[in-house]
Amino acid sequence: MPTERYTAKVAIVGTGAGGATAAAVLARAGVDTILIEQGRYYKPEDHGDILTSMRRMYVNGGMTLALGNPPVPIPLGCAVGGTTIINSSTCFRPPRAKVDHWEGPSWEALEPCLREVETRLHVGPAEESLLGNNYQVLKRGCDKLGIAIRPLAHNLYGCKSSGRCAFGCPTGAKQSTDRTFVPDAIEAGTRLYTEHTVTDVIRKGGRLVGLKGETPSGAFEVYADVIILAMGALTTPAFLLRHRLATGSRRVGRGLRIHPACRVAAEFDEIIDGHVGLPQGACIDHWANRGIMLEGISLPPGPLLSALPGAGARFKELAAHWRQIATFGIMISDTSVGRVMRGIGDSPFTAIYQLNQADTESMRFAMVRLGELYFAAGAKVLYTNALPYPVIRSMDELRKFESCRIRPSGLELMAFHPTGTCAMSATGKTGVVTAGLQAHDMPNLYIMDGSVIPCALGVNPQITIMALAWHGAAQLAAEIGN
Amino acid sequence: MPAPVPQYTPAENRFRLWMWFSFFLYAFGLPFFLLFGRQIAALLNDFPAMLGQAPPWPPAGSGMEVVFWQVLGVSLMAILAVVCLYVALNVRRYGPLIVALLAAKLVSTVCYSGFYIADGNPAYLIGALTDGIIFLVTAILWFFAAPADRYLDGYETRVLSAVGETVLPRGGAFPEGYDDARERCLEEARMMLSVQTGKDVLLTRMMLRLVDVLPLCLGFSCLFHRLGPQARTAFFERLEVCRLGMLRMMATGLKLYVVTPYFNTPDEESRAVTERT
Repeated sequence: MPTERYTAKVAIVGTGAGGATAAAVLARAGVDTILIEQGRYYKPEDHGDILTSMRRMYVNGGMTLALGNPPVPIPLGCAVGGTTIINSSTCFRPPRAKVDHWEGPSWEALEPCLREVETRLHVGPAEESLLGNNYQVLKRGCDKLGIAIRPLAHNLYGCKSSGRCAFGCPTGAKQSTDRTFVPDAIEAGTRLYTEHTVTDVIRKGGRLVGLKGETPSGAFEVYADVIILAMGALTTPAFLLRHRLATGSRRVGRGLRIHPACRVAAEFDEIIDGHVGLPQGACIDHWANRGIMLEGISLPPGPLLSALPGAGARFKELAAHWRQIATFGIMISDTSVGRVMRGIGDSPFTAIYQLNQADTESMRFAMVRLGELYFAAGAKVLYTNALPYPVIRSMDELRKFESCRIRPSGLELMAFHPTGTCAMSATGKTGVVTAGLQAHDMPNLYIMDGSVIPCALGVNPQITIMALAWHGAAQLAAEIGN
Repeated sequence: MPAPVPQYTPAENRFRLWMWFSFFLYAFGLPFFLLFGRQIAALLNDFPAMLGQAPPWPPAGSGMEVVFWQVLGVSLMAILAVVCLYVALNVRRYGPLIVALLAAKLVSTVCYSGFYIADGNPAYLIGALTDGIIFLVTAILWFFAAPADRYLDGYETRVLSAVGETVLPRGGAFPEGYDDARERCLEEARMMLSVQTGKDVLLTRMMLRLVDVLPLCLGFSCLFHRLGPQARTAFFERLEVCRLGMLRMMATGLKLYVVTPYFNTPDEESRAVTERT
């Protein structure tokens, strides 16, 4: 098989929030940069139906799991744009308290990067007209109970309210990195290679000098002075462990946080059509001090119904009324900690995560509060998928659910924000990379993805990852320039 | 122009490697067994003798009946060698031939085990363990490598269809059921599997097999796909509220493979959007 050989000053693996941002910053600074992406580039018109999108843009077709009881699906993107192409386009700045606490860039150093990123991505609060009925019905409940609900900030430009953020924006309104930082980087001279899967490293005299891998038609090798891994908080640590890179601290893969999430669905008498409008239009941060964030979530009928309980005639009755179902999500700033290990067989990673009792109680607390809001809004039935009350038909049942014994295994979870597996730290004993995202024990290796965030942020992390990558890449460009 | 070399999956390559090993084992063992078959038993008997135990293998005779059975044994080895060679050369085309080897090894394992239970001679146990391990290794590697363009075999397809009919039967709130869209849904399910890693495809296939036998463990009278509609629904709903997170996840996972394809028609969504606007 033919082997293509590339050389560059900096080679970046991954085109998601971290990799694409770093490429744009480095290329603009005049650094010869190569961007390597395992997935393909998709134009908005390529996105197709839900299952086609999942097949094309999700790692493993969307079936990526953290093992535990219960197992937790963690969907990841696999295309130019990484997970930014399938996220809900929600943008948060990192909480100041978290930034002050971590051993990474200070708030003063990070804030200009946040501003740059937000400007490029057109980040702004969603217009109320885009929020849809999923928001309106919950707002009704919030107004009755005196709880604040507010539109979330998004990286959108000209949103047509397709409701398909999680399956690739069909109108190109979402400012994911495939539409922002990747084109910026290419315009500034970066070479992008898609469908290139990195499988191995090239060492010379013990020093990392390049990467090699496979393409659909052969093999490739890339030689670079600096290598930046930005494959995500699950794949990057597994890759480091497999190839024994930067493992001196013994912290690689440890400290996995995922923001465990679940949702409550509520059936109403009226038509909701929750899938029309921004899927994650609004949030309730009333209980943020308890590490709880409620964020909108809505899905097309297939994924929505497959997560609702029942079979046979009962399930069909529910399916016939799918347009009357509203859903809202719950996200916990987790105290549980998981771990990433090398993949087994052809899997890129193995993630292990067991929810602890404290997080389980937080999840139940949030489900009950959300249930109260939905009942106040006029919901007939709640679907929690949580044992022992997967279906709740009254406030009495909700109270019973609040006081019953609940176990982690009784919940049905998902997660969307893996972080922490190659944490930033002041020394090589407690983390994997420096505040500039340089590996403590491998000077020409940098990590620029969610894995460097050393804690559960409590908010969607894409802007934080981008700002950290911006900050790290700017420092690196300055060093290379010198 | 030579035919292009197929791009095998890692699982197919592992299976091919095992087939090459098996081919050489049978092909080179064949003349050895023919020429020195009688000495093999004597040689094996030397080991227990060294440990002070009675020789387990019956001493080989030299009569015509021994030669007769030896020829039959050698001919079976020739068949197995040819099967392994064909499968190793093209696992996708000739893979199903492996059933011949599996059948031979299963029968010999069962017979040896039976004789060991009846007789207690450790020679039978050694035979059962040897052939049993060959059977298991071959079956597992084949299961992993099962044709990559198919993903679900006939049995698994029947179980998945049964899950579909259970969750979305005909009649009720709307007349159509899973049966009316079965082929499209199964094709979609196969395509969902086609982008997953071998490990995850295997997991789904094992889930299907597990869900089929689980009713027997829970007091139902037969396999899931043979249960009547009401019993199947009752079983599936029980599975969904099972205390074991893994089993509940299994129910949710299988439901995803039937419900998402069933509703993966943009018409419903477009209709809802149009009506609202």
